[in-house]
Amino acid sequence: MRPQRFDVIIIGGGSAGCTIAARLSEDPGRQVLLLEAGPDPQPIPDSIKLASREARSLMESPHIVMYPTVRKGDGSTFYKVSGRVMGGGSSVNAMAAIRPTRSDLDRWASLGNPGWSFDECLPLLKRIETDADYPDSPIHGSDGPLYVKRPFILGDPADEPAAAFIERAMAMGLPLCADLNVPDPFGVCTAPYNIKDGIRQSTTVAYLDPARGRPNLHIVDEAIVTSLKITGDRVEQVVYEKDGQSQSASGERVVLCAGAYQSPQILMLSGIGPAAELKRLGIDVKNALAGVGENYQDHATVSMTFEGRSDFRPDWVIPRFRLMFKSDPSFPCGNFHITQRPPTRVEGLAAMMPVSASLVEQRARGRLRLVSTDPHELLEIDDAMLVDPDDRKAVATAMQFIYDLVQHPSMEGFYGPIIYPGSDDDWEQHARNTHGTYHHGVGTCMMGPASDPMAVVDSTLRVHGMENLWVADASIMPTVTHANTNLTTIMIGERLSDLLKEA
Amino acid sequence: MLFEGKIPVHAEPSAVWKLLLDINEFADCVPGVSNVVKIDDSTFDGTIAASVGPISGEFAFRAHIIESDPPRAMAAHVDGTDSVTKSSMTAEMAMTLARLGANETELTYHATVDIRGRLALIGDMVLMATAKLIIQEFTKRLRRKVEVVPAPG
Ligand SMILES: Cc1cc2nc3c(=O)[nH]c(=O)nc-3n(C[C@H](O)[C@H](O)[C@H](O)COP(=O)(O)OP(=O)(O)OC[C@H]3O[C@@H](n4cnc5c(N)ncnc54)[C@H](O)[C@@H]3O)c2cc1C
Repeated sequence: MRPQRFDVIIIGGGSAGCTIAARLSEDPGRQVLLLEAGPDPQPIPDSIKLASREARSLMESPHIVMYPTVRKGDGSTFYKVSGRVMGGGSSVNAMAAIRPTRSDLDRWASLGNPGWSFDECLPLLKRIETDADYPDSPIHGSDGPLYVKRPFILGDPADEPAAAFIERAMAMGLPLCADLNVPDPFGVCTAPYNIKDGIRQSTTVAYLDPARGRPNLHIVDEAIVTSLKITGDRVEQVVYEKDGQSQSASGERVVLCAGAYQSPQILMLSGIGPAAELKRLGIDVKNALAGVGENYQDHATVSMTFEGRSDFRPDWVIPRFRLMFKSDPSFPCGNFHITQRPPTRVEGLAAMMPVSASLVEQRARGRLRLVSTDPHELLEIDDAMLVDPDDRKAVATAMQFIYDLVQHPSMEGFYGPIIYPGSDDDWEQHARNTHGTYHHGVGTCMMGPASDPMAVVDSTLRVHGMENLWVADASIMPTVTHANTNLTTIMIGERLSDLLKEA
Repeated sequence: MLFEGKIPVHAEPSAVWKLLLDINEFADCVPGVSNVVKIDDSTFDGTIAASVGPISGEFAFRAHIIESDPPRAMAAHVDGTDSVTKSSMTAEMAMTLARLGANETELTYHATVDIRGRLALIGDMVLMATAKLIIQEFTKRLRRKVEVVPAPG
């Protein structure tokens, strides 16, 4: 039976939300409500479940939200994406299970966030996973809910273009790195994935499903939270739409896990955010916090496309590895993921073989702006990607590295001349005009001390100035990790669960 | 996305114009195009098949000539939908032919392409690279069909 009042209400059943719902409902005495905007299909449809459907599912799935974003270079539009279904991003993402680096977490700690250094977070990272390749390693876990495995191990047989790519990268000075999840990864790395026997291990599968039977865990799907009713420093009610009706729930504690694009929106619609912005839209300011929606960061991806050799067999497979490249050798870990991409084919044309570089850091900070008070309207994104000259320079360095790697006699059998950009084009400008995203938007409810005017939550993830409101998702990251962001977000969920259990 | 450029052709503008207006000849110059059907004098339908990594799809389009000033300028509007994601594409294209001398024509093209829907997630870089190769191949085939004297090089 649904209680009158919950101990904890979790808004958003994504990577962090499902983790928290499962952990907090371990105590049968704690009544937990999970509100998720998307559906909670059971059984999970093949389009989500089967790892092999990932690329196609991104193209076809009804569970995707696309956020138009204007490139700074030429004003053209591309799209950020999030998942709107139980599991959130973990139900639609590419399933790379990559840890934050030591330098990422140590930096978070150094920004005034005690408890978040790499060494202090390592126990959380370990308890998340069952690492099928390194169960006995002191830095890996062997009995956590999330199954992690490297589908390709360096030395495994690989199709010739991939084998040649790896060999050439090594000849250019990159070391072999058997585990991308070491604290300072660099080189030719095997990449871990949360895929078990071909099945996506979303947080729905890894965390929520085993907890579903608990009578104290209440799950409401297709429930869109529109605002929080706030009195003083407390959230009194969570207001949501379900079946076209406005409903509400009250809870002792409220945890916002709606992701980097929606958590700031819910805060602002509830009167927590930059005062001038809220006033402009006629929203009653409950708690002026300048940082809500600010500090946005993402990873920019650029591709270079080469002609594929027509005489090479078209069915070659790219194994799951990536180059972790440093655009500056003095960096503590790689700042690019470089990957071979599958060919594009059009009848009558040479195959097109892209190689992409994702800059896994961002120096400039973007922001999300509330456009109206309509909770269904998407926030406007000003992502500031490739605005900083050092980011642009780094991208040009990575592009030159790719060019030098591919345009070498040892690669001639597979890669032909460059198609796009042209060798005479301005590559930096080209990157600014055509880049995409690695889909790792974060930072819009930044964690930091009260002395930092941009901080939204403190190091216990409680919203500054609020008594019973926490944010725990990708939005709290002070800086984007040098890694794909899902595992870090799950780690944030694990940390919040501990903090609330202790509180 | 914006595509623009110039294609020099060793032929008279009238010969290039004639080819551009002959739907089958024109379609023959565009790689990947098939199932071309003439609807009326200024409209034709067709499909382009492409595969991007593991995803193969067919792009069905209708091209409609909206302005024609023979043998100097033409404007066309193209609408398309892809079979996998049901994304839509619209393109506004303009071509002009300038006579530079005997058997010397410069074809100038300018196209703005707008993609709405999931297809946009494939990424502009892939789409631009594809467009660049299509234009290169179009140039080759066009020249082969209309040039009186083989182009040097
Ligand atoms: C296409 C794609 C590929 C990616 N690939 C990888 C990868 O391979 N590896 C990796 O590590 N990371 C990857 N990521 C990133 C990673 O998945 C995200 O960083 C992570 O899922 C973010 O988790 P979150 O909990 O912050 O937000 P989400 O997982 O997005 O969860 C937010 C949840 O809140 C719900 N919600 C939103 N608004 C409301 C509301 N108003 N009311 C109720 N519920 C609401 C949403 O429906 C969603 O379920 C990818 C992301 C995408 C989009």
